[in-house]
Amino acid sequence: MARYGFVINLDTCIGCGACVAACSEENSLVLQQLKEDAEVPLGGRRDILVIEKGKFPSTVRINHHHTCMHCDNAPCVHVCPTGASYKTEEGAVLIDYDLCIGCKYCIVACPYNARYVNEALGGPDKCTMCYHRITKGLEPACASSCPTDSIVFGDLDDPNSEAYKLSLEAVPLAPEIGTKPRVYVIPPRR
Amino acid sequence: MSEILFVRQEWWETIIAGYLFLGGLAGAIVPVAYYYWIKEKNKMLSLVGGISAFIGIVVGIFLLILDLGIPSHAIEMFISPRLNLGSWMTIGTYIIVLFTIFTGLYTIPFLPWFKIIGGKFTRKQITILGGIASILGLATAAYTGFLLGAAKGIQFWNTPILPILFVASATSSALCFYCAVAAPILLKLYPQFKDIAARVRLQLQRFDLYVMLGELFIIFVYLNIALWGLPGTRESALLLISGSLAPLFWIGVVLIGLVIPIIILWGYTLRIKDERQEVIIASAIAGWMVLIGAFILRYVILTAGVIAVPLI
Repeated sequence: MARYGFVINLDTCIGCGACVAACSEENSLVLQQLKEDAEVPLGGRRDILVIEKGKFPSTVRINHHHTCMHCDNAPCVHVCPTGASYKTEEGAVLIDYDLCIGCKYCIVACPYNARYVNEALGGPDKCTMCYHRITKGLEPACASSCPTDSIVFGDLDDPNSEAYKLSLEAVPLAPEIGTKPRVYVIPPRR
Repeated sequence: MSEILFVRQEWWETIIAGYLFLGGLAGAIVPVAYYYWIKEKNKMLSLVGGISAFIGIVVGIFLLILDLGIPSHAIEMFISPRLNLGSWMTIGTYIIVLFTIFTGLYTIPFLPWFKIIGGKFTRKQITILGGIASILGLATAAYTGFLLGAAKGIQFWNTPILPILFVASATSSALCFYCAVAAPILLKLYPQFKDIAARVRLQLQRFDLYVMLGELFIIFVYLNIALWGLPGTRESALLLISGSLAPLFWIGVVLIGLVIPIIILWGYTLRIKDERQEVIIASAIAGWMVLIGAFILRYVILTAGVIAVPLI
C-alpha cells in the first residue's frame, strides 16, 4: 500500500492562500482570511500563518502551513473513545461523524492544533487529505491549486514519485514528539 | 528552526471544571463515609454521604453530556463497534457509571424507608458494596488526572503529578464537605449525632490539615517543574503565576482554597474540643472556602492549558 503524504516547500511558497481557498471551496467551508497575526488561535482545515524570523534587517518571512499532519502515531486516534477518529489504509486520519460524540478530546490531544470545532457539525473537524479526491486518483485540492507547486502530494515510499524525491530534503515538524507526521516541510533557504 | 505558537485551549472550560470538581468530590465522599461504617457502623454519615455523592456524580455526568458537541451520540460510548478501550475517556466513563451504580446500591440500605418496604441487606453485603463503591470513588477522582495526562497537545497536563493533585484535592473537598454541608444537616436530622459530632469533626479536620499542607506542596512542585520544563508547560505555569490567571490562582486556589482554611483549622477549630455554634460556623466557612478553591483549581488547570504548536 502506498504511504501517502505531503511535502510542503516553504522555499517556493509565496503565501498566496490559493490552497486555503481551494480547500474551503472543495470542502464547502467558509473562505477564510489569511491570518497574519500569530496571536490569533487558528481555525479551519488549513491555514497559512505568516511568521517573521530573525531580527531586522536580517529577517525572513515564513509561510507556515497550519494543517493536519496525518500522523502515523496519531494522538487524536489514540484518545478517541468511540473510535470515531481513525486512520485509513491510505494514511489519512479521518472522523466518522456517526460515531463522534463531540467530546473534543482529540482537539486537546493534537500537538499541532490541527483540529477545531466546526459549529455546523457540532464536533471536531480537520483536513481529510481530500480523501474523496485521492481515492479517485486526484490530488488534494490544496496541492492541485498551488501556483508554485509548493504542495506536493504523493507516495512517500515510491522512489519515482515527486513527493519521495522532495521528502529527501524535507523534515517533519517536531519529530521529537513521536507522532510520525506524514507532512514534510522544506525550510526556506533564505 | 522551531519557532513555537502558543494556542490557549478553549475547548474544556467551566463545564468540564465543574465535572472534574463534582466527580472528585463525590468520589472521595464515599470512602470517608465508608470509613465510619467500617470503624463504628455509623449509618448517618453513610446515608448523607451516599446521597450527596450520588447526586454529585449524577449532576457531574449531566455536565459531561451537556459539554458534548453531539450529545445525541453519547450512547456510542457503549455501543460503538470501534469502541477504544485504551482511551482514558472510555475507561473513565465505565468507572463513573459503575461508581454511580455502586454508590446507589451502598446508600439504599441506609434509607429510612428501605426497611419499611421490607428490603434487607446483611452488614457483610453493605460492607462489600461500600468497599467497591469506595475504590471506584477514588478511581473517579484519579482518572481525570490520567484523562488530562493523555492529551498530548497540552504539555502542562502531561505529568504524573496531576492524578496525585486531583486525588489530594478531592480528598480535602470531601473532608470539608462534611463540615460545610453534611454536619449541619446531620445535627438537624439526628439529635443523637451531637454526641459524636465533635469527635468526627476533629478527626476529619486533623486529617484535612495534613492533606491541605500536602496539596500546597504538590502545587508548588507542579508549578516549579512546569516552569523549568517544556515551552508549553512554562507558558502555562507563567499564566498561573504571573499571567492572566494569576488573580484566580493566587486568590482563589492558594488563599481562599488553602491558606485561609489552614489558618482557620490550625488556629481555631482544631483547638476547640466541643461543638459550640461558633466552631460549627467557622468550620462550615472553611469548608465552603475549600470547596470553592477546589473548583477554581480545576478551572485554572484546564484554562492554563496551551498547545505549543511547532512552526518551522
